[in-house]
Amino acid sequence: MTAGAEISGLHKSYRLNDRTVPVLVGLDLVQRDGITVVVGPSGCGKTTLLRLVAGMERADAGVVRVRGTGRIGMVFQEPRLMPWLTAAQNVALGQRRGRCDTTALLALTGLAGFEDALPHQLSGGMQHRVALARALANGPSLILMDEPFAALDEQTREGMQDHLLEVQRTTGMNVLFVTHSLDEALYLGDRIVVLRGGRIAADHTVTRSSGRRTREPDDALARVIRTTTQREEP
Amino acid sequence: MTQVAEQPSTGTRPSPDAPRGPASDVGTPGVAGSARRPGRGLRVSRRLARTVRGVVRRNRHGLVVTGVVVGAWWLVCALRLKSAYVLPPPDRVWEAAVAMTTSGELARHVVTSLGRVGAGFALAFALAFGVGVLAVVAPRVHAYLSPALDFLKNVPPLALIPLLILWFGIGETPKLVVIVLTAVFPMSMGITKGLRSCGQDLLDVGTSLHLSPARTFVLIRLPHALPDVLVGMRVSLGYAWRALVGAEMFAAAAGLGALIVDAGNMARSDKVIVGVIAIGAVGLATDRLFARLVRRYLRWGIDDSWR
Ligand SMILES: Nc1ncnc2c1ncn2[C@@H]1O[C@H](COP(=O)(O)OP(=O)(O)O)[C@@H](O)[C@H]1O
Ligand SMILES: [Mg+2]
Repeated sequence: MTAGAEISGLHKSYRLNDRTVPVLVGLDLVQRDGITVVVGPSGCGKTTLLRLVAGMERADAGVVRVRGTGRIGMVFQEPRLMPWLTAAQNVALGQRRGRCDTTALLALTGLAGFEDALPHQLSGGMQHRVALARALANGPSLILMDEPFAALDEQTREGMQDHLLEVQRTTGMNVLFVTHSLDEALYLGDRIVVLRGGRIAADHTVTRSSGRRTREPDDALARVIRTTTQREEP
Repeated sequence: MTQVAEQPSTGTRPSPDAPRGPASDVGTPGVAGSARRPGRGLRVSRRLARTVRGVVRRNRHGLVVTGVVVGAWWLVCALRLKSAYVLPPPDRVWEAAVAMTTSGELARHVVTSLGRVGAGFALAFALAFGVGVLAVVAPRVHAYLSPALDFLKNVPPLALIPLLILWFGIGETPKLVVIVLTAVFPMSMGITKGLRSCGQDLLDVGTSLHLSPARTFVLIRLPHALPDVLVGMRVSLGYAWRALVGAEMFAAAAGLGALIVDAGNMARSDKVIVGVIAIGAVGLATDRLFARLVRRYLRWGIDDSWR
Protein backbone atom coordinates (compact mmCIF):
# COMPACT_ATOMS: atom_id res chain seq x y z
CA MET A 1 0.00 0.00 0.00
CA THR A 2 1.23 3.49 -0.79
CA ALA A 3 0.25 6.73 0.87
CA GLY A 4 -2.69 6.93 3.20
CA ALA A 5 -3.94 7.80 6.65
CA GLU A 6 -3.65 5.33 9.49
CA ILE A 7 -5.86 6.30 12.35
CA SER A 8 -6.45 4.46 15.58
CA GLY A 9 -8.41 5.31 18.68
CA LEU A 10 -8.90 8.91 17.63
CA HIS A 11 -10.69 11.11 20.14
CA LYS A 12 -11.54 14.75 19.67
CA SER A 13 -13.97 17.01 21.45
CA TYR A 14 -14.59 20.74 21.38
CA ARG A 15 -15.46 23.04 24.21
CA LEU A 16 -18.59 25.02 23.62
CA ASN A 17 -19.79 27.39 26.38
CA ASP A 18 -18.52 25.29 29.33
CA ARG A 19 -19.83 22.20 27.59
CA THR A 20 -17.64 19.51 26.10
CA VAL A 21 -18.94 18.32 22.77
CA PRO A 22 -17.45 15.00 21.78
CA VAL A 23 -17.02 14.77 18.02
CA LEU A 24 -14.81 11.76 17.41
CA VAL A 25 -14.84 8.94 19.98
CA GLY A 26 -12.35 6.24 19.14
CA LEU A 27 -12.24 6.33 15.38
CA ASP A 28 -10.17 3.70 13.59
CA LEU A 29 -9.41 3.78 9.89
CA VAL A 30 -6.58 2.39 7.81
CA GLN A 31 -6.73 3.85 4.36
CA ARG A 32 -6.15 1.63 1.33
CA ASP A 33 -5.20 2.61 -2.20
CA GLY A 34 -7.73 4.38 -4.34
CA ILE A 35 -10.50 6.70 -3.32
CA THR A 36 -11.77 6.30 0.21
CA VAL A 37 -14.98 8.17 0.84
CA VAL A 38 -16.12 9.05 4.34
CA VAL A 39 -19.84 9.69 4.28
CA GLY A 40 -21.98 11.09 7.05
CA PRO A 41 -24.51 13.79 7.74
CA SER A 42 -23.58 17.39 8.31
CA GLY A 43 -22.03 17.98 11.73
CA CYS A 44 -20.89 14.39 12.25
CA GLY A 45 -17.20 15.36 12.34
CA LYS A 46 -15.98 14.93 8.77
CA THR A 47 -14.14 18.23 8.63
CA THR A 48 -12.70 17.61 12.08
CA LEU A 49 -11.37 14.25 10.88
CA LEU A 50 -9.66 15.77 7.85
CA ARG A 51 -8.18 18.63 9.87
CA LEU A 52 -6.70 16.11 12.26
CA VAL A 53 -5.18 14.13 9.40
CA ALA A 54 -3.82 17.34 7.86
CA GLY A 55 -2.27 18.36 11.16
CA MET A 56 -4.35 21.50 11.57
CA GLU A 57 -5.84 20.22 14.79
CA ARG A 58 -4.48 18.19 17.71
CA ALA A 59 -6.20 15.01 18.80
CA ASP A 60 -7.26 14.56 22.44
CA ALA A 61 -6.20 10.95 22.23
CA GLY A 62 -5.30 8.39 19.60
CA VAL A 63 -2.83 8.23 16.79
CA VAL A 64 -2.94 9.76 13.32
CA ARG A 65 -0.17 8.63 11.06
CA VAL A 66 0.24 9.31 7.40
CA ARG A 67 1.95 6.64 5.37
CA GLY A 68 3.96 7.62 2.34
CA THR A 69 5.98 10.60 1.23
CA GLY A 70 4.38 12.95 3.70
CA ARG A 71 3.28 15.18 0.87
CA ILE A 72 -0.39 15.76 1.45
CA GLY A 73 -2.62 18.01 -0.57
CA MET A 74 -5.84 19.45 0.76
CA VAL A 75 -8.93 20.77 -0.92
CA PHE A 76 -11.33 22.64 1.31
CA GLN A 77 -15.07 22.94 1.08
CA GLU A 78 -14.62 26.47 -0.30
CA PRO A 79 -11.95 27.22 -2.92
CA ARG A 80 -10.06 29.54 -0.53
CA LEU A 81 -8.05 31.14 -3.29
CA MET A 82 -6.00 34.24 -2.57
CA PRO A 83 -8.06 36.98 -4.20
CA TRP A 84 -4.96 39.01 -5.04
CA LEU A 85 -3.30 36.23 -7.05
CA THR A 86 -4.03 34.96 -10.53
CA ALA A 87 -5.04 31.35 -11.11
CA ALA A 88 -1.47 30.41 -11.97
CA GLN A 89 -0.06 32.29 -8.98
CA ASN A 90 -2.57 30.59 -6.70
CA VAL A 91 -1.50 27.20 -7.97
CA ALA A 92 2.17 28.08 -7.45
CA LEU A 93 1.55 29.54 -3.99
CA GLY A 94 4.35 28.49 -1.69
CA GLN A 95 6.05 26.29 -4.28
CA ARG A 96 9.67 26.84 -5.08
CA ARG A 97 10.18 28.68 -8.33
CA GLY A 98 10.16 26.31 -11.27
CA ARG A 99 9.31 23.34 -9.08
CA CYS A 100 5.78 23.04 -10.36
CA ASP A 101 4.42 23.41 -13.84
CA THR A 102 1.36 25.57 -13.22
CA THR A 103 0.37 25.57 -16.87
CA ALA A 104 0.29 21.78 -16.94
CA LEU A 105 -1.59 21.61 -13.65
CA LEU A 106 -4.21 24.06 -14.84
CA ALA A 107 -4.51 22.11 -18.09
CA LEU A 108 -4.92 18.91 -16.09
CA THR A 109 -7.83 20.48 -14.25
CA GLY A 110 -9.31 21.84 -17.46
CA LEU A 111 -8.31 25.46 -17.03
CA ALA A 112 -5.87 25.94 -19.91
CA GLY A 113 -5.95 29.57 -20.96
CA PHE A 114 -7.11 30.90 -17.60
CA GLU A 115 -3.66 31.25 -16.06
CA ASP A 116 -3.91 35.01 -15.68
CA ALA A 117 -7.49 35.22 -14.47
CA LEU A 118 -8.11 36.54 -10.98
CA PRO A 119 -10.38 34.42 -8.76
CA HIS A 120 -13.30 36.84 -9.02
CA GLN A 121 -13.15 36.45 -12.79
CA LEU A 122 -13.75 32.70 -12.51
CA SER A 123 -16.97 30.79 -11.88
CA GLY A 124 -17.40 28.76 -8.70
CA GLY A 125 -16.58 25.51 -10.46
CA MET A 126 -13.46 26.99 -12.04
CA GLN A 127 -12.32 28.31 -8.66
CA HIS A 128 -12.68 24.81 -7.24
CA ARG A 129 -10.56 23.46 -10.07
CA VAL A 130 -7.85 26.02 -9.30
CA ALA A 131 -7.99 24.83 -5.69
CA LEU A 132 -7.58 21.25 -6.87
CA ALA A 133 -4.62 22.22 -9.07
CA ARG A 134 -3.06 24.02 -6.10
CA ALA A 135 -3.43 20.91 -3.95
CA LEU A 136 -1.72 18.88 -6.68
CA ALA A 137 1.17 21.33 -7.02
CA ASN A 138 3.67 19.66 -4.73
CA GLY A 139 2.98 16.24 -6.19
CA PRO A 140 1.10 14.78 -3.24
CA SER A 141 0.73 11.07 -2.82
CA LEU A 142 -2.36 11.66 -0.74
CA ILE A 143 -5.03 14.26 -1.18
CA LEU A 144 -7.66 15.19 1.38
CA MET A 145 -10.92 16.59 0.09
CA ASP A 146 -13.56 18.18 2.30
CA GLU A 147 -16.88 18.19 0.44
CA PRO A 148 -15.18 20.12 -2.33
CA PHE A 149 -18.15 20.00 -4.66
CA ALA A 150 -20.98 20.45 -2.18
CA ALA A 151 -21.62 24.07 -3.08
CA LEU A 152 -21.78 23.48 -6.83
CA ASP A 153 -24.82 22.94 -8.99
CA GLU A 154 -25.54 19.39 -10.04
CA GLN A 155 -24.15 19.57 -13.57
CA THR A 156 -20.93 21.25 -12.49
CA ARG A 157 -20.60 18.82 -9.61
CA GLU A 158 -20.86 15.81 -11.89
CA GLY A 159 -18.30 17.32 -14.23
CA MET A 160 -15.95 17.94 -11.30
CA GLN A 161 -16.39 14.40 -10.05
CA ASP A 162 -15.38 13.01 -13.44
CA HIS A 163 -12.48 15.42 -13.45
CA LEU A 164 -11.32 14.15 -10.10
CA LEU A 165 -11.51 10.54 -11.27
CA GLU A 166 -9.50 11.46 -14.33
CA VAL A 167 -6.86 13.27 -12.29
CA GLN A 168 -6.68 10.41 -9.81
CA ARG A 169 -6.15 7.93 -12.65
CA THR A 170 -3.46 10.12 -14.21
CA THR A 171 -1.52 10.83 -11.04
CA GLY A 172 -2.13 7.59 -9.18
CA MET A 173 -2.52 9.43 -5.90
CA ASN A 174 -4.78 8.25 -3.15
CA VAL A 175 -7.75 10.25 -2.04
CA LEU A 176 -9.51 10.65 1.29
CA PHE A 177 -12.78 12.26 0.35
CA VAL A 178 -15.50 13.29 2.77
CA THR A 179 -19.04 14.09 1.74
CA HIS A 180 -22.55 14.14 3.13
CA SER A 181 -23.90 12.91 -0.19
CA LEU A 182 -24.46 9.21 -0.51
CA ASP A 183 -24.78 9.50 -4.29
CA GLU A 184 -21.39 11.15 -4.48
CA ALA A 185 -19.88 8.50 -2.23
CA LEU A 186 -21.31 5.72 -4.36
CA TYR A 187 -20.06 7.27 -7.57
CA LEU A 188 -16.53 8.13 -6.44
CA GLY A 189 -15.66 5.63 -3.78
CA ASP A 190 -13.56 2.53 -4.16
CA ARG A 191 -14.31 2.16 -0.50
CA ILE A 192 -17.06 3.83 1.45
CA VAL A 193 -16.95 4.25 5.21
CA VAL A 194 -19.82 5.63 7.19
CA LEU A 195 -19.00 8.09 10.00
CA ARG A 196 -21.65 8.03 12.67
CA GLY A 197 -21.62 8.70 16.40
CA GLY A 198 -17.98 9.70 16.25
CA ARG A 199 -16.62 6.50 14.81
CA ILE A 200 -16.70 4.36 11.69
CA ALA A 201 -20.08 2.65 11.70
CA ALA A 202 -19.76 0.75 8.45
CA ASP A 203 -17.07 -0.04 5.93
CA HIS A 204 -17.85 -1.18 2.39
CA THR A 205 -15.53 -2.01 -0.43
CA VAL A 206 -17.17 -1.17 -3.72
CA THR A 207 -16.89 -3.76 -6.44
CA ARG A 208 -18.13 -2.54 -9.76
CA SER A 209 -19.29 -5.53 -11.75
CA SER A 210 -18.88 -3.83 -15.10
CA GLY A 211 -15.64 -2.20 -14.00
CA ARG A 212 -17.17 1.13 -14.94
CA ARG A 213 -18.77 3.76 -12.82
CA THR A 214 -22.36 4.65 -13.41
CA ARG A 215 -24.60 7.30 -11.98
CA GLU A 216 -27.14 4.55 -11.20
CA PRO A 217 -25.20 2.78 -8.49
CA ASP A 218 -25.62 -0.63 -7.00
CA ASP A 219 -29.05 -0.48 -5.37
CA ALA A 220 -28.32 -3.14 -2.82
CA LEU A 221 -25.21 -1.34 -1.55
CA ALA A 222 -27.03 1.99 -1.49
CA ARG A 223 -29.78 0.41 0.62
CA VAL A 224 -27.29 -1.07 3.06
CA ILE A 225 -25.41 2.17 3.50
CA ARG A 226 -28.60 4.15 3.78
CA THR A 227 -29.76 2.01 6.67
CA THR A 228 -26.41 2.51 8.44
CA THR A 229 -26.41 6.27 8.01
CA GLN A 230 -30.01 6.68 9.03
CA ARG A 231 -30.14 4.43 12.04
CA GLU A 232 -31.16 6.26 15.19
CA GLU A 233 -28.46 7.46 17.51
CA PRO A 234 -28.06 5.18 20.54
CA MET B 1 -15.27 66.47 -38.44
CA THR B 2 -11.63 65.54 -37.95
CA GLN B 3 -12.31 66.54 -34.36
CA VAL B 4 -14.06 63.38 -33.32
CA ALA B 5 -11.35 61.08 -34.58
CA GLU B 6 -8.80 62.94 -32.49
CA GLN B 7 -10.85 62.72 -29.37
CA PRO B 8 -10.23 59.30 -27.75
CA SER B 9 -7.44 58.37 -25.36
CA THR B 10 -7.76 61.41 -23.11
CA GLY B 11 -8.95 59.24 -20.23
CA THR B 12 -9.50 55.59 -19.52
CA ARG B 13 -12.98 55.94 -18.14
CA PRO B 14 -15.76 57.83 -19.82
CA SER B 15 -16.23 60.95 -17.77
CA PRO B 16 -19.73 62.11 -16.93
CA ASP B 17 -19.47 65.02 -19.28
CA ALA B 18 -18.02 63.00 -22.12
CA PRO B 19 -20.87 63.74 -24.53
CA ARG B 20 -20.08 67.43 -24.20
CA GLY B 21 -16.44 66.77 -24.90
CA PRO B 22 -16.10 67.15 -28.64
CA ALA B 23 -18.40 70.15 -28.77
CA SER B 24 -16.45 72.02 -26.11
CA ASP B 25 -13.27 71.43 -28.04
CA VAL B 26 -14.35 73.70 -30.80
CA GLY B 27 -12.82 77.09 -30.35
CA THR B 28 -9.55 75.93 -28.88
CA PRO B 29 -7.07 77.80 -31.02
CA GLY B 30 -4.96 75.68 -33.29
CA VAL B 31 -7.11 72.62 -32.84
CA ALA B 32 -10.40 73.28 -34.52
CA GLY B 33 -10.36 73.02 -38.27
CA SER B 34 -6.67 72.20 -38.41
CA ALA B 35 -5.06 70.91 -41.57
CA ARG B 36 -4.97 67.21 -42.37
CA ARG B 37 -1.18 66.94 -41.91
CA PRO B 38 -0.31 69.28 -39.10
CA GLY B 39 3.30 70.38 -38.57
CA ARG B 40 5.30 69.20 -35.59
CA GLY B 41 4.84 72.37 -33.56
CA LEU B 42 1.13 72.28 -34.14
CA ARG B 43 0.99 68.63 -33.17
CA VAL B 44 2.84 69.33 -29.91
CA SER B 45 0.67 72.27 -29.00
CA ARG B 46 -2.37 70.22 -29.83
CA ARG B 47 -1.20 67.45 -27.51
CA LEU B 48 -0.47 70.03 -24.81
CA ALA B 49 -3.93 71.49 -25.18
CA ARG B 50 -5.42 68.05 -24.87
CA THR B 51 -3.42 67.33 -21.71
CA VAL B 52 -4.48 70.62 -20.15
CA ARG B 53 -8.08 69.88 -21.05
CA GLY B 54 -7.73 66.45 -19.44
CA VAL B 55 -6.32 67.91 -16.24
CA VAL B 56 -9.02 70.56 -16.11
CA ARG B 57 -11.74 68.00 -16.73
CA ARG B 58 -10.43 65.63 -14.06
CA ASN B 59 -10.19 68.41 -11.49
CA ARG B 60 -13.22 70.41 -12.53
CA HIS B 61 -14.97 70.05 -9.16
CA GLY B 62 -11.95 71.24 -7.23
CA LEU B 63 -11.44 74.10 -9.67
CA VAL B 64 -15.04 75.26 -9.28
CA VAL B 65 -14.72 75.29 -5.48
CA THR B 66 -11.37 77.09 -5.70
CA GLY B 67 -12.92 79.69 -7.97
CA VAL B 68 -15.83 80.26 -5.59
CA VAL B 69 -13.54 80.56 -2.55
CA VAL B 70 -11.14 82.97 -4.27
CA GLY B 71 -14.09 84.97 -5.59
CA ALA B 72 -15.59 85.29 -2.12
CA TRP B 73 -12.18 86.20 -0.71
CA TRP B 74 -11.74 88.87 -3.34
CA LEU B 75 -15.24 90.20 -2.67
CA VAL B 76 -14.61 90.44 1.08
CA CYS B 77 -11.45 92.44 0.37
CA ALA B 78 -13.03 94.59 -2.33
CA LEU B 79 -15.93 95.52 -0.02
CA ARG B 80 -13.36 96.24 2.71
CA LEU B 81 -15.13 93.94 5.16
CA LYS B 82 -11.69 93.08 6.51
CA SER B 83 -8.63 95.24 6.48
CA ALA B 84 -5.81 94.24 4.12
CA TYR B 85 -3.65 93.81 7.20
CA VAL B 86 -5.88 91.00 8.49
CA LEU B 87 -6.87 89.55 5.14
CA PRO B 88 -4.64 90.57 2.26
CA PRO B 89 -6.45 90.44 -1.10
CA PRO B 90 -5.77 87.55 -3.51
CA ASP B 91 -3.56 89.63 -5.79
CA ARG B 92 -1.24 90.60 -2.91
CA VAL B 93 -0.90 86.97 -1.93
CA TRP B 94 -0.28 86.08 -5.56
CA GLU B 95 2.48 88.69 -5.77
CA ALA B 96 4.06 87.35 -2.58
CA ALA B 97 3.86 83.82 -3.98
CA VAL B 98 5.51 84.85 -7.23
CA ALA B 99 8.26 86.69 -5.39
CA MET B 100 8.90 83.76 -3.06
CA THR B 101 8.92 81.33 -5.96
CA THR B 102 11.33 83.29 -8.13
CA SER B 103 13.71 83.92 -5.24
CA GLY B 104 13.77 80.18 -4.51
CA GLU B 105 12.60 80.80 -0.95
CA LEU B 106 9.45 78.73 -1.33
CA ALA B 107 11.28 75.80 -2.93
CA ARG B 108 13.80 75.74 -0.08
CA HIS B 109 11.01 75.55 2.51
CA VAL B 110 9.12 72.89 0.56
CA VAL B 111 12.21 70.71 0.16
CA THR B 112 13.08 70.99 3.86
CA SER B 113 9.54 70.10 4.88
CA LEU B 114 9.33 67.24 2.40
CA GLY B 115 12.51 65.81 3.88
CA ARG B 116 11.15 66.03 7.42
CA VAL B 117 7.77 64.60 6.54
CA GLY B 118 9.42 61.84 4.52
CA ALA B 119 11.79 60.86 7.31
CA GLY B 120 9.10 61.08 9.99
CA PHE B 121 6.67 59.11 7.87
CA ALA B 122 9.22 56.38 7.15
CA LEU B 123 10.10 56.11 10.83
CA ALA B 124 6.43 56.05 11.81
CA PHE B 125 5.81 53.31 9.27
CA ALA B 126 8.60 51.17 10.65
CA LEU B 127 7.24 51.55 14.19
CA ALA B 128 3.64 50.97 13.16
CA PHE B 129 4.60 47.90 11.19
CA GLY B 130 6.51 46.54 14.15
CA VAL B 131 3.48 47.04 16.38
CA GLY B 132 1.23 45.32 13.85
CA VAL B 133 3.54 42.35 13.46
CA LEU B 134 3.78 42.07 17.23
CA ALA B 135 -0.01 42.02 17.48
CA VAL B 136 -0.22 38.82 15.42
CA VAL B 137 3.13 37.18 16.18
CA ALA B 138 3.34 37.88 19.90
CA PRO B 139 -0.13 38.93 21.06
CA ARG B 140 0.91 38.65 24.72
CA VAL B 141 3.72 41.16 24.29
CA HIS B 142 1.37 43.37 22.33
CA ALA B 143 -1.14 43.21 25.17
CA TYR B 144 1.40 44.83 27.49
CA LEU B 145 2.23 47.46 24.91
CA SER B 146 -1.17 48.44 23.65
CA PRO B 147 -2.52 50.30 26.74
CA ALA B 148 0.56 52.51 26.68
CA LEU B 149 0.13 53.11 22.97
CA ASP B 150 -3.56 53.90 23.40
CA PHE B 151 -2.63 56.40 26.09
CA LEU B 152 -0.04 58.05 23.89
CA LYS B 153 -2.45 58.09 20.99
CA ASN B 154 -4.70 60.43 22.94
CA VAL B 155 -1.98 62.86 23.95
CA PRO B 156 -1.60 65.71 21.45
CA PRO B 157 2.02 65.66 20.30
CA LEU B 158 2.14 69.46 20.58
CA ALA B 159 1.58 69.10 24.33
CA LEU B 160 4.88 67.28 24.51
CA ILE B 161 6.93 69.98 22.81
CA PRO B 162 8.28 71.60 26.01
CA LEU B 163 9.47 68.23 27.22
CA LEU B 164 10.83 67.25 23.81
CA ILE B 165 12.94 70.39 23.72
CA LEU B 166 14.29 69.66 27.18
CA TRP B 167 15.11 66.10 26.25
CA PHE B 168 16.29 66.42 22.67
CA GLY B 169 17.31 70.06 22.33
CA ILE B 170 16.16 72.17 19.45
CA GLY B 171 17.69 70.22 16.57
CA GLU B 172 16.00 67.86 14.15
CA THR B 173 15.14 65.20 16.72
CA PRO B 174 12.18 66.85 18.46
CA LYS B 175 10.73 67.84 15.07
CA LEU B 176 10.97 64.28 13.89
CA VAL B 177 9.43 63.00 17.12
CA VAL B 178 6.41 65.26 16.71
CA ILE B 179 5.83 64.05 13.17
CA VAL B 180 6.31 60.42 14.15
CA LEU B 181 3.95 60.72 17.12
CA THR B 182 1.31 62.27 14.91
CA ALA B 183 1.66 59.85 12.02
CA VAL B 184 2.26 56.57 13.77
CA PHE B 185 -1.15 55.86 15.27
CA PRO B 186 -3.49 55.84 12.29
CA MET B 187 -0.92 53.72 10.51
CA SER B 188 -0.45 51.24 13.35
CA MET B 189 -4.22 50.89 13.63
CA GLY B 190 -4.57 50.16 9.92
CA ILE B 191 -1.66 47.75 9.86
CA THR B 192 -2.74 45.93 13.01
CA LYS B 193 -6.31 45.64 11.83
CA GLY B 194 -5.21 44.38 8.42
CA LEU B 195 -2.81 41.79 9.77
CA ARG B 196 -5.28 40.60 12.39
CA SER B 197 -8.22 40.31 10.04
CA CYS B 198 -6.73 37.55 7.90
CA GLY B 199 -9.14 34.67 8.42
CA GLN B 200 -8.15 31.24 9.65
CA ASP B 201 -9.55 29.81 6.42
CA LEU B 202 -6.80 31.44 4.36
CA LEU B 203 -4.12 30.75 6.95
CA ASP B 204 -5.11 27.07 6.90
CA VAL B 205 -4.26 27.05 3.21
CA GLY B 206 -0.71 27.85 4.26
CA THR B 207 -0.74 24.93 6.67
CA SER B 208 -2.13 22.65 3.97
CA LEU B 209 0.75 23.68 1.71
CA HIS B 210 3.24 22.95 4.52
CA LEU B 211 4.40 26.57 4.65
CA SER B 212 6.47 27.74 7.58
CA PRO B 213 4.87 30.42 9.80
CA ALA B 214 7.21 33.00 8.30
CA ARG B 215 6.25 32.09 4.75
CA THR B 216 2.57 32.03 5.66
CA PHE B 217 3.00 35.53 7.04
CA VAL B 218 4.73 36.85 3.94
CA LEU B 219 2.65 35.00 1.34
CA ILE B 220 -0.80 35.15 2.91
CA ARG B 221 -1.21 37.41 5.92
CA LEU B 222 0.75 40.36 4.60
CA PRO B 223 -0.77 40.63 1.12
CA HIS B 224 -4.19 40.13 2.67
CA ALA B 225 -3.52 43.10 4.96
CA LEU B 226 -2.22 45.33 2.19
CA PRO B 227 -5.43 47.30 1.51
CA ASP B 228 -5.78 48.16 5.22
CA VAL B 229 -2.09 48.92 5.48
CA LEU B 230 -2.35 51.33 2.57
CA VAL B 231 -5.41 53.10 3.97
CA GLY B 232 -3.53 53.57 7.23
CA MET B 233 -0.52 54.88 5.34
CA ARG B 234 -2.61 57.31 3.38
CA VAL B 235 -4.31 58.69 6.48
CA SER B 236 -0.95 58.97 8.20
CA LEU B 237 0.60 60.78 5.30
CA GLY B 238 -2.00 63.52 5.77
CA TYR B 239 -1.36 63.54 9.52
CA ALA B 240 2.36 63.92 8.96
CA TRP B 241 1.72 67.03 6.89
CA ARG B 242 -0.63 68.41 9.48
CA ALA B 243 2.03 67.97 12.15
CA LEU B 244 4.44 70.09 10.18
CA VAL B 245 3.68 73.55 11.54
CA GLY B 246 3.79 72.24 15.10
CA ALA B 247 7.05 70.46 14.44
CA GLU B 248 8.66 73.47 12.81
CA MET B 249 7.23 75.98 15.25
CA PHE B 250 10.36 76.05 17.37
CA ALA B 251 13.83 76.92 16.18
CA ALA B 252 13.51 75.86 12.59
CA ALA B 253 15.49 77.81 10.04
CA ALA B 254 13.56 76.43 7.12
CA GLY B 255 10.41 74.52 6.34
CA LEU B 256 6.86 75.58 5.54
CA GLY B 257 5.96 75.57 9.24
CA ALA B 258 8.89 77.87 10.01
CA LEU B 259 7.91 80.09 7.11
CA ILE B 260 4.41 80.47 8.51
CA VAL B 261 5.57 81.12 12.07
CA ASP B 262 8.17 83.67 10.97
CA ALA B 263 5.77 85.43 8.59
CA GLY B 264 3.19 85.55 11.38
CA ASN B 265 5.71 87.13 13.75
CA MET B 266 6.42 89.78 11.11
CA ALA B 267 2.70 90.36 10.50
CA ARG B 268 3.04 89.24 6.88
CA SER B 269 -0.39 87.67 6.46
CA ASP B 270 0.22 87.37 2.72
CA LYS B 271 3.23 85.10 3.30
CA VAL B 272 1.30 83.13 5.92
CA ILE B 273 -1.40 82.44 3.35
CA VAL B 274 1.22 81.41 0.76
CA GLY B 275 2.68 78.99 3.33
CA VAL B 276 -0.74 77.55 4.17
CA ILE B 277 -1.60 77.07 0.51
CA ALA B 278 1.80 75.49 -0.12
CA ILE B 279 1.35 72.96 2.73
CA GLY B 280 -2.11 72.08 1.50
CA ALA B 281 -0.99 71.82 -2.12
CA VAL B 282 2.07 69.69 -1.46
CA GLY B 283 0.06 67.49 0.92
CA LEU B 284 -2.65 67.10 -1.69
CA ALA B 285 -0.09 66.27 -4.35
CA THR B 286 1.59 63.57 -2.23
CA ASP B 287 -1.81 62.14 -1.36
CA ARG B 288 -2.85 61.96 -5.00
CA LEU B 289 0.48 60.49 -5.99
CA PHE B 290 0.17 57.83 -3.32
CA ALA B 291 -3.36 56.93 -4.39
CA ARG B 292 -2.27 56.77 -8.02
CA LEU B 293 0.61 54.42 -7.29
CA VAL B 294 -1.67 52.21 -5.24
CA ARG B 295 -4.32 52.07 -7.95
CA ARG B 296 -1.72 51.29 -10.51
CA TYR B 297 0.10 48.48 -8.73
CA LEU B 298 -2.60 46.89 -6.61
CA ARG B 299 -5.36 45.04 -8.37
CA TRP B 300 -7.13 43.64 -5.39
CA GLY B 301 -8.94 45.23 -2.44
CA ILE B 302 -8.68 48.68 -3.97
CA ASP B 303 -12.03 49.97 -5.04
CA ASP B 304 -13.39 53.30 -6.20
CA SER B 305 -12.82 54.80 -2.77
CA TRP B 306 -9.18 55.11 -3.82
CA ARG B 307 -9.15 58.39 -5.65
N1 LIG C 1 -13.79 25.01 16.38
C1 LIG C 1 -14.89 24.41 16.91
N2 LIG C 1 -15.35 24.77 18.12
C2 LIG C 1 -16.43 24.17 18.64
N3 LIG C 1 -17.12 23.20 18.05
C3 LIG C 1 -16.73 22.79 16.83
C4 LIG C 1 -15.59 23.39 16.18
N4 LIG C 1 -15.42 22.78 14.98
C5 LIG C 1 -16.42 21.88 14.88
N5 LIG C 1 -17.19 21.88 15.98
C6 LIG C 1 -18.34 21.01 16.22
O1 LIG C 1 -17.94 19.71 15.93
C7 LIG C 1 -18.96 19.01 15.25
C8 LIG C 1 -18.42 18.44 13.96
O2 LIG C 1 -18.08 19.49 13.07
P1 LIG C 1 -17.51 19.20 11.64
O3 LIG C 1 -16.32 18.33 11.76
O4 LIG C 1 -17.31 20.52 10.99
O5 LIG C 1 -18.70 18.42 10.95
P2 LIG C 1 -18.94 18.10 9.41
O6 LIG C 1 -17.75 18.54 8.65
O7 LIG C 1 -19.17 16.64 9.35
O8 LIG C 1 -20.17 18.83 9.01
C9 LIG C 1 -20.10 19.99 15.06
O9 LIG C 1 -21.07 19.73 16.03
C10 LIG C 1 -19.47 21.33 15.28
O10 LIG C 1 -20.37 22.19 15.86
MG1 LIG D 1 -17.58 20.01 7.10
